[in-house]
Amino acid sequence: MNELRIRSLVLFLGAAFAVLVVGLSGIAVFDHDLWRARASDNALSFDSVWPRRATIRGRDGSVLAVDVPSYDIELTYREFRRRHPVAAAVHGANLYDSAFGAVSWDMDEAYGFDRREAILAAGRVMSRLDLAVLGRSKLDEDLLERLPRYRPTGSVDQDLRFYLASMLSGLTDRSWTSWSLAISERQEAAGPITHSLRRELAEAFDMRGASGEECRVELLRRFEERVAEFEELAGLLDELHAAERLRRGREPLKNPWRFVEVLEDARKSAENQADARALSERVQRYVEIGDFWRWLAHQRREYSTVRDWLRSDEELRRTDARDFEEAREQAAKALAKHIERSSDALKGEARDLKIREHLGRFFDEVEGFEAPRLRDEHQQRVIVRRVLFDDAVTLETRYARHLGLSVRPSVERRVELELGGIGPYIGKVSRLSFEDQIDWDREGDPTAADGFVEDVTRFQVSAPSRGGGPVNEDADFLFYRELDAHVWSQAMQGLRIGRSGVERSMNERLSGVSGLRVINRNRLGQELSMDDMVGVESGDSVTLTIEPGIQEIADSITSRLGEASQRALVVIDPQTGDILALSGHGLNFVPDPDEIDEDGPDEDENELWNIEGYDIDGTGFDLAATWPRTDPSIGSVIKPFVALEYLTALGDGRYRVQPTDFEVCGDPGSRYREVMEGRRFGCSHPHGTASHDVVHALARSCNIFFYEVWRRADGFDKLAAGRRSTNRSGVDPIGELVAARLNWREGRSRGLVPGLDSRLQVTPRELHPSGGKGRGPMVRTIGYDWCVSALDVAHAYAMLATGRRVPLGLVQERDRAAPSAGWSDEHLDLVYQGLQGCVRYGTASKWSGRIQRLGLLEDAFAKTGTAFILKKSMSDQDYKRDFHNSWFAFVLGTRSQSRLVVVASAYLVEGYGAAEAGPMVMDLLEGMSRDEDLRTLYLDRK
Amino acid sequence: MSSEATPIEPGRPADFLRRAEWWVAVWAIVISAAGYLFIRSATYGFDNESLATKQVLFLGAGAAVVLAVLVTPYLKLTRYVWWIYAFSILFLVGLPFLGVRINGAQRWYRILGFGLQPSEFAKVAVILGLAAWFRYRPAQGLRNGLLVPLAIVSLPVLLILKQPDLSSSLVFWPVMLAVCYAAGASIRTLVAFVVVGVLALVLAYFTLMHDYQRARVDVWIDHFSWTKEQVLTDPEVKRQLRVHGYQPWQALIAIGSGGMFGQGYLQGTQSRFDFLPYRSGDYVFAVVCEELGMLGAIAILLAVFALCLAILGVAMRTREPFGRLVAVGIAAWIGAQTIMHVAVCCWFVPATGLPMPLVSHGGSSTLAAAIAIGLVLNISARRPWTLGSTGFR
Repeated sequence: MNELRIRSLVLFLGAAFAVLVVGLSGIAVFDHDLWRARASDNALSFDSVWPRRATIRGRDGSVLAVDVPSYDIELTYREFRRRHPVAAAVHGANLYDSAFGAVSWDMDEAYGFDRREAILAAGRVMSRLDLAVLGRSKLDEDLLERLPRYRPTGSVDQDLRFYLASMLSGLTDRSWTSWSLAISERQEAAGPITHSLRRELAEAFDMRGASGEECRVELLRRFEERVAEFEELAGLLDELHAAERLRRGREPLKNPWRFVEVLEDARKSAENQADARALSERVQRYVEIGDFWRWLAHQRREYSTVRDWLRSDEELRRTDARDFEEAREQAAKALAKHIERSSDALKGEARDLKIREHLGRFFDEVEGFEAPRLRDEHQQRVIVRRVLFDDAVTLETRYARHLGLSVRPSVERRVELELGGIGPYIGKVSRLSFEDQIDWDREGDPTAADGFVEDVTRFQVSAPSRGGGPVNEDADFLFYRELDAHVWSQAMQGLRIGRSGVERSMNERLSGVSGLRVINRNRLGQELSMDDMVGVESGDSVTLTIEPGIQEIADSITSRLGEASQRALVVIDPQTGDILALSGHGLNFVPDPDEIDEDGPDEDENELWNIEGYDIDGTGFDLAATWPRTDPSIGSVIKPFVALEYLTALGDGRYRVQPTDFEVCGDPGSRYREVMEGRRFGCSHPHGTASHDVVHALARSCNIFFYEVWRRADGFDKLAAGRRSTNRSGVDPIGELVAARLNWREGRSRGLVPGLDSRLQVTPRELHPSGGKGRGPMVRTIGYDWCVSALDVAHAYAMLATGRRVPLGLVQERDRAAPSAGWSDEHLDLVYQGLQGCVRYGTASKWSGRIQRLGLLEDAFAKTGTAFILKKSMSDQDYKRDFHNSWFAFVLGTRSQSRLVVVASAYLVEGYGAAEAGPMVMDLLEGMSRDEDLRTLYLDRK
Repeated sequence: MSSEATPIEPGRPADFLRRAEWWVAVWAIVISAAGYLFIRSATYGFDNESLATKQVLFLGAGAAVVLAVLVTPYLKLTRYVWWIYAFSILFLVGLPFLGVRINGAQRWYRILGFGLQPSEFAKVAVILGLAAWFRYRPAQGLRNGLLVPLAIVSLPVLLILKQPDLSSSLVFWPVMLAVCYAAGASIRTLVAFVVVGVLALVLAYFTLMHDYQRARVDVWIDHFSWTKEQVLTDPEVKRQLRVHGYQPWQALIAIGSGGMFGQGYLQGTQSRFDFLPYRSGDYVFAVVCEELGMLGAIAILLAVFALCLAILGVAMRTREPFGRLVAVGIAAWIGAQTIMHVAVCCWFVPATGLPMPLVSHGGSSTLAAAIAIGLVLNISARRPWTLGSTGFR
C-alpha cells in the first residue's frame, strides 16, 4: 500500500470526470439546438384558432353560404374505456385478443399440432364471445365504428358477452358490476337464464384454459379468485379515490352513482315500457337509498346461483363434454399452456396498469414505461365532425350520456340555396391540411399533432420558409430560423379554404386570418398554460350578382333534361355584366363519348377536373360555364358577329364584294341546289329564304349568305384577323371568373369571332358528305368547332346588345369599365334588325306569340343556332334524326336600352335550336313575369 | 506537540476538531445544499413536493449521524466491523420476508413511515469489511488480494441482485477494486478480474438478465446507430423511444436543452411539464444540466471531485491502514456512483436507476453518505501513530 497508488486513483478519478465533461459538452453544447428543439417538441403545441368564414349572399341579400354551428365529438380514450361499459368491453376484448390472438399461428411449429384444427378449435371458442368481430382495435375510430353494435339491442345475452370480455380485461372498475348487472337485467327481463346462455358462459370460462370437466371446475375456481381480486382492488381504489378527494377538499366519490347511470342508460333504451318503468323505479330506489354495496352483495348471490347452475346442470355437462372433447383432442394441451401463460401476463399487466394508474406510478422500473400510450389515451381526439345539435346534445345528457365522449362546438359551411347550378359555383370548403402546403406524409402517425422537431426538420428539407429563399439542406436543425415557418404552417393547418367556385376565387376575402395559441402541455398531453396568442380575424362577406329568383327558375328549367344530354341557361344584365343566373344540368360526359368524338374525355381530363377541385360525379357540375364535353359547336348563333365583321370590313374597304354579288337561292318552293366549285350543295332551309340582305339573312339564318361571305373573302379568318376582331368580341372573363374556374379552358376561349387567337379554325364544314360519290347534297355552314359555353355566348350577346365590352361579373360592387366594342351603331342597327326579324318572321318566329303574350315583342331580339352532331352509326340519308347542339340567344330591350340577355342551349337533341332551346327561354321569361318583383326589375321597361 | 505527534486519543476536543479535514465537510455540505435545491426544483408544483422537505430532514439527521460517528474513535470500530457486516447481510436477507414491494422490487423496510434501504448501508459495511480484511494482511496473493475481498463483496451483491437492484450492485465492484488496489493487490490480478467481470456481464446479458434489462441494453446499443432522420421517421425507433428508451431519451433532452447556461432554476421544461421521470432521484443530474446548463453541471462535478480529492487526501495523510482504506473505499464509492449516475443520465451506459450521492433524494442514501462522511472526518481527526509507512508488514 503506497501513496502512489492513491495518487493514481486520484488521476483515474479525474480522468473519468474529464471524460464525462467532454461527453456532456457534446450533448449540452454542440447539439444544443437539436435537443432544445426536441424539448420544445415535447412541451409546446400550437393550437390554431380559426376565423369565422364570411357569408356569401345573393343579389337580393339572401344567404347562399354561411358558417353554421355544428358539433364535433371528441373521445378521450382513457376515460372512454374506463367509464363506458361498451368501451370497457371492447378494450377488454382487445387486450384479450392481443394476449391470445397469436395462439394459433405458431402452434403447429411450437407444439406440433394440426394447425388447421387448432385454429378451428381456438376460433370456435373465440367466436362465442364475438371476439372475432372485435378484432385488434386500439383506438377511437374503431371503437366508434363498432359502437352501434353495442347500443342496447334488447339482447342481454349479447351484451353479456361484452361485459364478460370487459371483466376479463381487468382494466375497468365497472366490469364486475356490469357483469352482475347484466345477469340481473337478464333475469328480470326474460326470466331464468337460458340453457344456451349458461353454455356460453361455460365456454367463456373455457377460454381461460378449460377443456373438460376438470378444467371447467378449475376455471370456475380461478374465476372466483379473479372476481375476489377485482373486488378487493376496486375497494382499495375506491378508498384511494375517496382519500384523494378528501385530501383535496372535494366531495368523496359516490360510486353508486356511476352504476345508476348504467341503469338509467339501459332504461332509456328499453323497448318494453314496463321494463323501463321497473328499471326507473330501481334507479330511483338506488338514488334514494344509495345502498350500492348491499345491492352488489345481492348481485353476488345471484352470481353464485349462476355458478351453481353451471356446476349442477347435467345436460350442460354432457353437451359441453362433447364440444370440449373435440377441441381438447386437437388443441387443448397447447391452448391451455399458452393461455395459462398469457393469462398470468394479462393479469399481471392488468393489475400493474390499474395500480399504476390510480396511484400515479407511471414509471415501472421493472416492466418498463410506456408513456406515449398513456399520453395518447389522455388526448382528446375528434372522431366525428359535424354532428347536428339534436344528436350531440344526447351525448351530453347526464344519465344517457356516453362517458368518455365529449362534445365540442364547431362550425360547418352550409350552402343554403342548393340550386343545382349555383351550388357548385359557390363551391366547396374544406380544411387545409399539411399535404396541401408541403408534401409531408403525416397520415397515420399518432404523434403527428405535436411532432415539432419533425416538422421543423422536414420543412427545412422539403420546402422553403414562408419568406422564400433557398433551402439550406446542409444547415443542421436551424431551430429558430425555421420557427416562424413552422408556426405559420401550424396556423394554416386546419384553416377552411375554398376549394372551388366562389369560395375559391374569393377565398382570401372570405377566409379571414387564423389565430394561434402556443400551449404548454405536459407528458400526458394535458394543457397546462398558454404561452402566447396571435389574434384571429374573421373574413369579409361577399354579395354575389346571382338573382336567386331567376336562378331558381332557370334551374328548374334546365333540370328537365328531356332527351338532351345537357341543358344550360344563362341570364346576364347586359348593362352591368352581372350574371343573374347560371344554370346547367345533365351528364358531364355523354354515355359513350368515343362514339361521338374521338377527342372525348380521357383519364387525364378526369384527373384534371379532380385536381381543379371539382367533384364531377357528386355535384352535378354546372354546364353553363363549360363546354359540352364532346362536339361543342354553336352553329348559327355566331352569325351576327360574322355579319358585323363583314359589314365592318365592307365599310373599311377591306372587303369589296357586296351582298348583291352573292349567289343565293333560286326559285321559291324548292330546296336550294347550287353548283359551287364543281360540287352540288344543299341547304336544309326552305328555298327562297336566302337573301342579298344582311337583315334577312340573319333573320332567316341563311347558310348560303354566310357561306358566300366566307368564300369570297378567301377565308373568313383572314378577314377577321385584319381587324383583330377577337379583341372586340372575344370573351375576356374577369378575374373572379377565371379564379372560379368558370372558364377553365380559357386557352381555347378567345372570342366568338374567329381570329388568330383562336385555336380552331372556323371554316365551313361539310355536312352529310356524299361519300366521295358526287351524289347527294352537301351543306356548308359556319359555326362549327367553336368551343364556347353558354356563358360565353351570353357574354358576346351582351356586347352586341350594348356595343360595349362589358366584363362579366359574379360579385357585386365591382368597378367594371366597359369600353366600346368597336362596332359602329349603323352596323349594330342592321344586326339588331336582323335579330328582331328572327323573332317576328325568322327562325324564332314560332315563339313570337308567347313573347307577345308577355308584352315583350317590341323589345325582343333573338338568334337561333343549330349545329349538327353526327353519330357514326347513322346513315348518310338519315340526317334528320341526327343530334344537334341547339342554341337560342335572346336579348330583351331596345337598341339603346337593353335589359336582359338570355342564352339557352341543349346538347345532343334531335330538334333545332328554336325548337329545343327556344322553349327554355320562353319558360324563363314566363316564370319571371309571374314574379312581380322580377318582372318589375328585369322585364318591364324602365 | 505537532499534529503528526497526536496520540490516538487526543487530549482535548478542540484539538480533535481542529485536526479534522473540514474540507470534506464543506464540500459535502455544498453538494447536499445543491441536492436540496434540485430536489425542490424537480418536485416543485407536483404531488411529491414534500420530498424536498423530507430531504432537509434527512440532511439534518445526516448531520447528527456525522457528529455521532465523529465522536467515537474510528479504530474502535475495528472490533465491530464483522458484526456490522453481518448485520447488514442480515438486513438484506430479511428483505424478502419483511420488506415492502414497490414497483415490483423488495428493497425497503417500512419503519415509521419511512423507507429504509439496506443496500445503501451495505456499501458502508462492505467498505469497512474490506478495510478490516486488508488491515493486517498482505494483499499480493490471489487469496488475500482478490478471492476473499470478492467473497466479502459478493455476498451482499447477490442479495441485492435478488431484490432485484442491479444498479446498486454495480457500485460495489469499483469500490472493491479501488480498495484492493490501494491495499497493494497485484495489478495483473485486478486487470484479469476486470476482464473476467466484463465477460461475465456479457454472459449475463445472454443468460441471466431479465427481458426488460436486456431490452434496455439493446436500445442503448441501438441508439448509437440512430441517425437524426431515423429518430424522426423510423417507426421502430420511435417506438423504442416511447418504451425502453423513454427515460434516458428524456434525460438527454433535458441535458441537451440546458445548453451552456441552462434554462434557469425552476424553469426547465422537462421538469416543469413532467416529461423527465425520476428526476428527484435517478435523473437529478439531468435537472441540474437543464436548469443550470453545462456550467452548473461542471460546478457540481467539480464539487464532487473536490470531495473525493479531499477524502483521498485524508487517505494519503493517514498511515493507519484501516482508516486509509476506509477513506479510499468511501472516495471510490462516492466517485464511482457519481460517475455512473452521470453516465446513466447522458446515456453513456444502459439506463439503470442509481441515485447521485448527497444530491439525489433518498433517506437511506443520505444517511449512508453521512456515515461515510463522518467516518472520513473521524479518520482525519484521529490519525494514529504508526511504525512504518505501510503498517505492520
